[in-house]
Amino acid sequence: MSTGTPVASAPRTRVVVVDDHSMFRSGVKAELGGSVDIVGEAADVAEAVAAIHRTRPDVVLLDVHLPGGGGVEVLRVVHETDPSIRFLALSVSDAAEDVVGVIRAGARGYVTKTLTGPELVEAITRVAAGDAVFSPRLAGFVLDAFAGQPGEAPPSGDPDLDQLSPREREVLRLIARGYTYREAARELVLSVKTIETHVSNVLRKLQLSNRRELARWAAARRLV
Amino acid sequence: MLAGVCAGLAAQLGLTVRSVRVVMVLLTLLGGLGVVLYAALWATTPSGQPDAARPPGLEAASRQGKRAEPSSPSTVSAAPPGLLAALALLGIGAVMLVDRLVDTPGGAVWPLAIVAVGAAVVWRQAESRDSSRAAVIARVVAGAALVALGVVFFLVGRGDLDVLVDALLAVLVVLLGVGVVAGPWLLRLSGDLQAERAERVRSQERADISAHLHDSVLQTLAVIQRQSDDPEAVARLARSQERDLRRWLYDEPVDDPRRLRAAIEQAAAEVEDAFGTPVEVVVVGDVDLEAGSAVEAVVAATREALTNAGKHADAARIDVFAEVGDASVDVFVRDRGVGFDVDAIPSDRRGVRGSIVERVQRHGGTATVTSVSGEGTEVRLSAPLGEQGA
Repeated sequence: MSTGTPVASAPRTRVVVVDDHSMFRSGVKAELGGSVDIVGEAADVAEAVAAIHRTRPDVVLLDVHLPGGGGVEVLRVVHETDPSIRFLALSVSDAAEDVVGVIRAGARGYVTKTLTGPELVEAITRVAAGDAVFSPRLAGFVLDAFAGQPGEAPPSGDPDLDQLSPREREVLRLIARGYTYREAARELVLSVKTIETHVSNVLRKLQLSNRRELARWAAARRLV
Repeated sequence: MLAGVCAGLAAQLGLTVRSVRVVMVLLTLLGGLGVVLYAALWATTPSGQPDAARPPGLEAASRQGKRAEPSSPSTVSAAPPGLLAALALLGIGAVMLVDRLVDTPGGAVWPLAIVAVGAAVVWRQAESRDSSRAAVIARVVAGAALVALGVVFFLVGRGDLDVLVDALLAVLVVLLGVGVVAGPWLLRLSGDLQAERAERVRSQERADISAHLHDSVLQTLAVIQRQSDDPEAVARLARSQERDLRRWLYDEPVDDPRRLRAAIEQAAAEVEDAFGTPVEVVVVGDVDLEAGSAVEAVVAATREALTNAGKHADAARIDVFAEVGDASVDVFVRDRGVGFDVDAIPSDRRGVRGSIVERVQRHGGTATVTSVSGEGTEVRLSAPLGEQGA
């Protein structure tokens, strides 16, 4: 309570940066260094797994394309022993199968490398807090994948997983339109917390649903 | 239904599978031509999608093991046992029928059927390139064994087996001799041929890639160096080059300008180039622009809204979201720029009112502009689908 200022006492988010381009890693370090603690970096799957086990970070900033089997492989190996580590996927590739692939492998969000520094810090903070981070593009993919009738999905036992609720659809549309969670909350007259819950539910559906489109994307990444 | 010949033919001719099948069945009933045609097409038609070309960026990432990907997608899917059994029964039934109906000398039908099956196994092998080496060898051996078995049965049936053994022995000896002499040489020749073909393909790909890099990235870098004292121009050039390269590396080739997605991406690219503001485009679904005059009006209004945002908003980024629903196309253009007072636009001025709102309304759509000074602007456009606007 009386120990210094709240800002100084708040522990900073510990981050491992995984990317095979050293130029990009140093760029991220320079941009984020003031706001988060970069505790490790890695350039391929083996290095990443070692660095994550050694440092146990709050958030791993994970490149989708990575020597040694891609970001998906890092997620698989780390989550086998340590499902509590949170991943934020980062990519220059916007191919739907890659994006959906890392999310289904367990990443808590997806952003593109063109994101500005402050936006990236906000995304990392959100993932560290256990929330999901959807870029407009990811929101678009999800709307695409969950479009149409849920009847095309194979019987996965839980029909709720195979379709979005009208409210979730509304939230995703706003994110696709470029709204932040705060702006979306104001537009729908909801709390930011509620928006976060909706987005987390969508993430869960994205990871667990057996919808045909998702299965198709995931099959291309050998995830089913 | 059997080997997908009808489906393939339908895809090639642009007909429905059902109509092709009906024609096939009719031809079969009229003197068996359909069966012959089916078999001939089966033997000569290449199997579908020889190599579905992917964007080079994904291709490269896969090759370098940067993406998790199956070594070869399950193209050699095992046929369900039920289907195989049904096919076998059909075949046996057909042979019995022919045996009953046609007066063949010395029971030649069964041996011939076995030869046919063996030949089919070997021929099919020539087509599937993806299967493993062991599988190839196994299938060729099995096919050849079936053919040999059929021939032996046939000759046994005719009582010519003694002659056959002598002849076979002679042929075998000659083949062995030729094999010993020419085998290594033949092996090397085929290896060389394959290597050469692969090398030629690779060098063509390299030439394509360097040509593309020369035309795009190299030119841009040269221009950037010359304009290095103008940060805005540099940022604009870099962004435009990034967009171009990204599309070339990762996007599926969709360049039909008569589709909504392509038209909106085109408008966004032009605005990026003209004003230097990055435009994020997200499109869900797609539709022909001819789907209604209101759709074209909405695209034109989108372009206008983007131009306004680029010119006046002074925003760091513009977001465009277009969604094709069952009954309408909705487009949202949003910026977090300076904003303006919508009601304060003089009514005689074109611009927002004329080129955006009224244009869309004329074609039966709706358009609203909301703007808050200091917070930015959002233009919402909607066009009905399925019915022509006024």
